[in-house]
Amino acid sequence: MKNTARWILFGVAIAAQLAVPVSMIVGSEDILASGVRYHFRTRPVDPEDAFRGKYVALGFEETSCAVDTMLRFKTHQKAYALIARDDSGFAQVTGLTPRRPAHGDYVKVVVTSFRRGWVDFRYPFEKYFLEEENAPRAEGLYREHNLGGNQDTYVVVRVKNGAAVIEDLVIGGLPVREALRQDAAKTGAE
Amino acid sequence: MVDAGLITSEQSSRIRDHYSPSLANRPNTSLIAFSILGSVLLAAGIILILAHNWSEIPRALRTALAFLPLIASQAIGFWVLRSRMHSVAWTEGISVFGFISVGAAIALISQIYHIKGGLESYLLTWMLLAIPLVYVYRSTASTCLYGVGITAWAIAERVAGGTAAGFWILALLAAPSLYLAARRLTRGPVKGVVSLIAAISLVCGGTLATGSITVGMWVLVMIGLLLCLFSVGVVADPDGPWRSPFSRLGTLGLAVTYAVLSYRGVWHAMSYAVNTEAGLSTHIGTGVVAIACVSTVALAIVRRPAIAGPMALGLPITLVCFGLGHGGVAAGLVFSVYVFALGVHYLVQGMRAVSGRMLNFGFLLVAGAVILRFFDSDWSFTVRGIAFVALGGGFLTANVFLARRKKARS
Repeated sequence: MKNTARWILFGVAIAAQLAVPVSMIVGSEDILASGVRYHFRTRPVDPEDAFRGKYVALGFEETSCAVDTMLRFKTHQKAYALIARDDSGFAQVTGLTPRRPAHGDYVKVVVTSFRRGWVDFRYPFEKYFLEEENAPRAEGLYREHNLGGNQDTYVVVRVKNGAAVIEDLVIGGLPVREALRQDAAKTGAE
Repeated sequence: MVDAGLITSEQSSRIRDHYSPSLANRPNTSLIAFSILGSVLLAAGIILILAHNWSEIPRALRTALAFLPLIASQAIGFWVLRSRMHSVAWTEGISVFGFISVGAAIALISQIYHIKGGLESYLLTWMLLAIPLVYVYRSTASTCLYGVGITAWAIAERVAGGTAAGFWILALLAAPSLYLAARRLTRGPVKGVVSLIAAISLVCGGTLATGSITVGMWVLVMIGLLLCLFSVGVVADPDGPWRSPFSRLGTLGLAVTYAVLSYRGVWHAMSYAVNTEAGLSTHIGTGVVAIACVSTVALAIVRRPAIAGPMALGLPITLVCFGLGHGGVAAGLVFSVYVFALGVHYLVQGMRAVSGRMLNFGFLLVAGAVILRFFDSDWSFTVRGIAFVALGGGFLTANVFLARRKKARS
């Protein structure tokens, strides 16, 4: 390869390698700054699969939806879950469509199974990353608070144009870091 | 030689002068290996440090730190391009460091913003961003990393429900680099490793990218790709078959596949039932594999019919067995007989050509066909014992016979 061509390729590579992570940051920051805030109710996850190193695996209550019986979905297909707030202020899925909706809030999801008139799906936010020393403790607290049928554990998500970014994980009514601090203080006092 | 009086000291110094420039220019293999290893450890270490001590650092600072290894690799890369392109140790080292840094930057940003994403989209982005480094630095190590990466992508893509048809495009992006590496590298362990990674990537990725038109069709595609490798080795290697890594991997893969197909249980998942989810790209990919397979195998059969023909027969046999049905009983039996016959054929060929390699390969096939049937039969221990003694005796006798023929020839 000639020297000029090598330098051009090097420049293109540098630009692309920087552009991709920068676009990820800009996109996420934009959603966090101007996206609509929703609280997604969580549910317990399989303890065998829950802790996978450095994150808390999240499970959600709203992961299935009735759809028009004429609609057909394939497993692994991308779809759009229409969301709104229920009476208690939590996120509720009101419909699912294969095409991007023209208005309203929606989240891009992946279909996990389809039965005539009924779709199960997966959200794009199923992991909350934490440091290695905190992830197992947070996982324990998350499970503990989800088992009792409490309504005080949920995920705060910002939604904009189908994209979603986790803002915080709330356990027992407290942001996860505060919950961890209080748990550590309580354990120390005992 | 000077001490023994074979050459004079003057002749000795002239010989040394003649060879010393080429020796000086020869890249130091251990230095290159350590530079690659050092780059991997350095990148991994920095990433682990950044990923660990984050609990009290604000998000903006964490984000900036995530770019640190990437920017460092680009800055060092700039310097290497300007003044160290003649050093293979530097180019290989910085290329690997840059390759890992790109993947780390994306992973760390995903972690900071809790972006789950799929493994397949992560690997695809990483490989596309890293492939220019292979050409910028003319790096063999990065070509290998890319081969492993695109194979992992094909696996992740299929697990996520995709077709992985893009594997062919990703593989084509690395083809010029592989060609240049093949020209650059002389025979030796590095060339062997590169060939092996390329061959494994081609078979695994190609099978995943194309084998979904009918249920279990991936087996046909895999046999086709392994036959391609086997045939390329048979045709291209002047020293005979089973010398090149392509040929060795092809032969080993085919032997294992044929042996596995002699079990009737595996045939339950194979038929001509069409998979409706296979797209146009899958059909095109399968067509290309079929053409490549038929042409390379035909060439190999023309050049060395006795070696290539019997091995290639497995493909039409598999095609016929796909339609046999009956719970795989007939197909399993056909392959048991085929593997045994193939073994006997190579055993006889080995004897004729006085080739220990071919003779022992034939014997392994015969032994494999017999031993595998022991696992799903009710034969008594006495019968099994006699069979093992016969196989062992035959193996020793054949090798002794071959050794005598070799001695007589020499």
